Amino acid sequence: MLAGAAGSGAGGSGAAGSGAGGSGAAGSFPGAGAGVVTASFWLILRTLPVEASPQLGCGWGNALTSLVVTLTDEVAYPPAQHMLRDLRIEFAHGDRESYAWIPNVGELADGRGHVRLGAISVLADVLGGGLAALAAAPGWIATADLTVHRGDPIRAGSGDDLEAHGRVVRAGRSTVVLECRVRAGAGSPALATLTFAVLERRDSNPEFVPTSGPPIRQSMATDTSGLRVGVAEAFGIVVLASGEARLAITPYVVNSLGATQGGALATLAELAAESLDPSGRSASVDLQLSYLSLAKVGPVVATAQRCGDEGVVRVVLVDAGARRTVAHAMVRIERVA
Amino acid sequence: MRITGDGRGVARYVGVTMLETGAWEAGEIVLTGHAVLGPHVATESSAISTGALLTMCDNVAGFCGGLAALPDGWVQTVNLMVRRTRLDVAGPLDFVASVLRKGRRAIVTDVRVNDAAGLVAIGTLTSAVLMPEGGPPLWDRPARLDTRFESDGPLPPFGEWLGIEREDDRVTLSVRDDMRNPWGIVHGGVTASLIDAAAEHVVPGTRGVLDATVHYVAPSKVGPLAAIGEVIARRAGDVLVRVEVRDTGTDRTTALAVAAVESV
Repeated sequence: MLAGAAGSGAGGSGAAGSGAGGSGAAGSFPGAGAGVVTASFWLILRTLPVEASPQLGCGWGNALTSLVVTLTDEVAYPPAQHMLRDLRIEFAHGDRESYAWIPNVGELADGRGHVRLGAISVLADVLGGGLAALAAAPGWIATADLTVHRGDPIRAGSGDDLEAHGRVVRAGRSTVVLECRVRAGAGSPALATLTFAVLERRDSNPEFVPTSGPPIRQSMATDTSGLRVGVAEAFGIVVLASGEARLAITPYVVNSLGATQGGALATLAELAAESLDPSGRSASVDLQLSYLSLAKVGPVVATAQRCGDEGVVRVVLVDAGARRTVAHAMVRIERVA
Repeated sequence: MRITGDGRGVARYVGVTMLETGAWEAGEIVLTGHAVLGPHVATESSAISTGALLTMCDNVAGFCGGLAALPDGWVQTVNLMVRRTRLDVAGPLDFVASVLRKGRRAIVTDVRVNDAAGLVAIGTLTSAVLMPEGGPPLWDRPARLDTRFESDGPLPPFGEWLGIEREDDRVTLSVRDDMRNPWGIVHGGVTASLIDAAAEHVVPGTRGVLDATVHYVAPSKVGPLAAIGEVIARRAGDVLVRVEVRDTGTDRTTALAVAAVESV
């Protein structure tokens, strides 16, 4: 017997992750489809002129390596109708830090008119997935956990784009840990942290080809992309009852692995937690989510349960079709006076 | 001061007894814990500091994960997320930990903490599965671990025992051997307690930390450890603080944390 070995904590220098949410990486780096074409990333993403992206000049310069994603397979992802296109996400990746943006439109609003935590989660997850994939190369990655804490409330539709700045904190053999700040305008940022498990590379995974030169700002949007309804409704999230919400798994919300995008699951957890308040005036402030397995069959049903009187909610997400728990979340909700 | 009893320093100092209660023969790993809270883990406003609570959660959920890893290895904590539902705790505390997911390389465990008045905290811990030199530890099953200490006098507060010192922009501690886990690495609870202190340090007068997410990104081995808190946002009811821990002996970042600290 090894006395006292319990909870030996500390020093996770190696393996971890494993949640295999498969969200950020697959979501942010389309590819992984079937076929044989070698295509540069901008065949499916629009490359935007750097000079039109003043944020890139802020403390970033041209020293970092920009990223070109080369697909070894036929482009099949994301489909024309997809959440990442409709959110009109743009991003520019470097080798240790990246930026991403979402236009701040009214459709991102939660019950009190602020940008939904789920939208911030999607942005952080997509940005983090790209950074982690590059840090883990030649391996591939899957989201293991995601935390998002709000900063100053961001009024949805206020005009200032959401800007995310991500940074690699640690890139190990088994995990990549990142932090990401999301802000709009001059307010205090939301702070997100993510852990990605490093996986063995598959033939279907996109390849990353670092190139020198200024970062390339790219967009997933097409000319017709854009949210026409609220972001949760667009994802297909339906509140079934107090504390229960459902998400059908459709091509609109899956990543290139065919699993539900991690940010969509975060939004589902958020909606389930907020639905505990029958007044509809509660909004999520903080979210901590552990991805346990891929959600591929669906629907995903989220069940929320209050923990005490201080707005702490535990949410369990189950892939009902696969009869498997896919994620556990802790959410803190706050009621507007 | 004489402290006797089985178990390693940090786990013994906070004092959680643990008993395996699940049907382990069938692969169900469930662990219950019990802690009689002494004044050494209390703060002015609570019967237990968040640092001590994080340490206890790390002990119970980590031990649960370790048992789940057997016989393929043992575990190190890589991520600990704990949210308190309230700061006013009466004690004693009861813990229940169970396995959410067992993978080849990682194990995710859930922990719930109650006192007589109800739920005190919930948490999730992710552990990496590693094979120690000489193989994993052997436990009689169902496993039992009694880490309570015996002392011939009052114990100093947990933070004082750890040697946490507050400077202008940081909190620090020097690494002692009794702070190390069986891997020779600084115990996750020590790092978590340092983070708790750093988060409170930038919110003077607070009653405590309500919520903490700790990413252990590299082993702390040499020390001294230095934790710097950065206020990210002042929100309704709490202050959002980012904390980075560095092992100054190796000049490496060893932990990153986000904490919500109750506003004054």
